[in-house]
Amino acid sequence: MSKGLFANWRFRTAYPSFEPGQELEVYLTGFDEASGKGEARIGDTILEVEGVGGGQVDSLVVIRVESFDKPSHRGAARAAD
Amino acid sequence: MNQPESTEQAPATRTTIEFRGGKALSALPILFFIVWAIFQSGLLGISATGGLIVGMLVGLILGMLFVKGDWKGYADTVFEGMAQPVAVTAIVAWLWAGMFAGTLQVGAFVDGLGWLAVAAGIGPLLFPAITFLLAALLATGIGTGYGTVIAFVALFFPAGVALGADPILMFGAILSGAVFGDNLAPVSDTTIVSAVTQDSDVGGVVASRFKYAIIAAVLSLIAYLVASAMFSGSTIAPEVAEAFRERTNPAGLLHLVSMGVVIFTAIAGRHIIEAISWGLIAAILINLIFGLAPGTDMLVFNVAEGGWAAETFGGWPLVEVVAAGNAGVGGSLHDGALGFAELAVLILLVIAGAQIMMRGGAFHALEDWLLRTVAKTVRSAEVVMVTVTASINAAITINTAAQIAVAPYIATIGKRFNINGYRRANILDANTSALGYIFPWAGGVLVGYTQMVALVEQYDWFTSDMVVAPIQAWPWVFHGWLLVIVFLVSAWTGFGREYTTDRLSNRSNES
Repeated sequence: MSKGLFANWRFRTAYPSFEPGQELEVYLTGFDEASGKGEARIGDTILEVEGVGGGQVDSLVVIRVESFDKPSHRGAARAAD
Repeated sequence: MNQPESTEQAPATRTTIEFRGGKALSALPILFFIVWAIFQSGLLGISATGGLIVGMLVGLILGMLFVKGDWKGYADTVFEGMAQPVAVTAIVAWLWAGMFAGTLQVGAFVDGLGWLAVAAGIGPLLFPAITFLLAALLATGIGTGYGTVIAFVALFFPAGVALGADPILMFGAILSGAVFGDNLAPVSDTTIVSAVTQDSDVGGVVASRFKYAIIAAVLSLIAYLVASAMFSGSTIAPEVAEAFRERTNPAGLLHLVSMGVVIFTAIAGRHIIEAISWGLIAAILINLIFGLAPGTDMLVFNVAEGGWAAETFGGWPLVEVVAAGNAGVGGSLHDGALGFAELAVLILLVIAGAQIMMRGGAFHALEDWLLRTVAKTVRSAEVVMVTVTASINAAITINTAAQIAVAPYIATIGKRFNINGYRRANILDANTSALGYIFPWAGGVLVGYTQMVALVEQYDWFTSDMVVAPIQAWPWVFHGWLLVIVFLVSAWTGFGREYTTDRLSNRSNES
C-alpha cells in the first residue's frame, strides 16, 4: 500500500480510528504530571497513555490500544512491554 | 546538488545576541534587504546585483546598531553565517555550471538546439512547455536547480527567444524546471536535508513526494501551453529570427554528449563537482576535435601589444596580442565562472543576515507563537508548516539554508500530531524548493538573470530589451506556485497525509 510512486494517492482523515488490542508505535505528544498519564495525539485523535514517563515526550513509544470511542475520537492505551 | 556533507550543519537553535527593542529586531537586516530589493528592482527598475550587495551590507550595519552590549558577538555571527557550507555549496555550483554552460555556448550548442527545434517543427507555442520538461529532467538528473538555470538560460533561452518564444515565459519555464528538480531529485541537497532532518530515508521521501510534484508539473505544462498561445505575438524581429535559422547547425548537438556525461555521472552518485568537471572536459575535447570552437574561445590570455610579454609569448597557443586597453584573461572558462562573482558575495551576506535573525531569536519567537496559538488541529498545523516554510524561504532566499533553519520546527510541529517523517519532509522540501525560484531577490532568479545579462555580449542579435528583469519573472514560475498550492490543498484536505501509525519512515524505524 505504502510503497511506490503511486502509493497514498488518497485523502486521509484528521481523525484516524484504532481498535482495542492494536499495537502502535507513536510519538508521545504530551504528559500530565498530575494524573501521571501521557498523551499520544495522532492527527486530531487523542489516546491517553498509561505506563509512560514525562521524559518520553517527543520520543517514539510502543503502545497497545485498550479502548477506543469512535464518536469522540478518543481512546486509552498502555505502554507495551 | 550532491553535497550531503552540508546536512551535517547543526541547525541554529541557540539565541546568542540580544537586541534593543526585542527579538524582532534581529530580523532587521534581512527585512531591510528585502525592502531594498523591492525598491531597487521593483520600483526603480534597476536589477544590478551590486546594488543588492550594498542593501544587505547597510542592513547588517543597521542591525548592529540595535545590539545590546558588546558588538563582537554580532560580528562573530556574521562570520558564522558566511562560513556555513550551504552558501559555499551554492557558489561552487554556480562556478562549475557557469564554466560548463559557457563552453557549450561557444561550441554552438544553441545553434544545435535551434536546428533540432526547426527540424522538429517546435515553434514559439511549444518551446516554453518543452523547455520546462527538459529543464525538469536535467535538474532531476543532476540534482542542482541553480546549475540547471545557468545551463538553460545560456543555451535554451536564446534558442527559444530567437525562434519567437516569449522571453518572460521562457525564463519562468526554466525556473519551474529547476523547482521540479530541486524538489524531486534524489541527489539534490534539499532532498537530502529534508530526509535527514525528518528522520526519513531519501528513497522513501522521493517516492512519497512524486504525487505532489507530478500533479503540479502536469498543471504547469498545461499552463505554459495556454500562456504561450496567449503571448502569440513574437518579440523578436523577423530578420533576426531568420538569421538565427540560417546559422542553426546540427553539429552543435554533439554537446548532447557533454550534457549526457554530466547527467550520467551525477546519477551514478558522483559529486556534482566531479560530474560537471567530466562534462566540461568532454565539452572542451568536442569543441577542439570537431572544430566547433578554437581553444582561445574557451581560454585566452590577452597580452598588451608592444611589451616584453607580447614579444616573448605572442604566437603561443591561448595567447593573443591585443591593444593595451583590452589586456586580460578571457574565454568561456573565465567568463562563465566570473559572471557569478558578485552574486557569490551577495549570497554570503544574505546567509550572514539569516544567521543574525536566528541567533537574535526573531525566528524562534515566530515559530513558538505559531505552535502555541495557530497549530491547534492537524489541518491548521499542516497549513502552518507549509506557510512558515514558504515564508522563511522567501526571506532567506537560498533554499537549502532556509530548509536547515526551519527543519527543527517542522519536526516539532509534525511530531505533535504524529505526522510521519515522509509527509514532514515533503512539506519542508516542496515549499523551500518552490520559493527559492520565484521572488526577485531569490538566489535562483538572480543566478538566471546574471547569466542572461551575459547573453547580450555573447550574441550580436540578443539585445538588452530581451533580458528579463528579476521582478518580471515571479508570476510565470508556474510549477513553483502550483507546488505551494498543491501543498496548501493537501494540508487542508488531507491528501497524501500519513501518520506514524500508517507507517514509520525508515530512519525513525531504525532509531
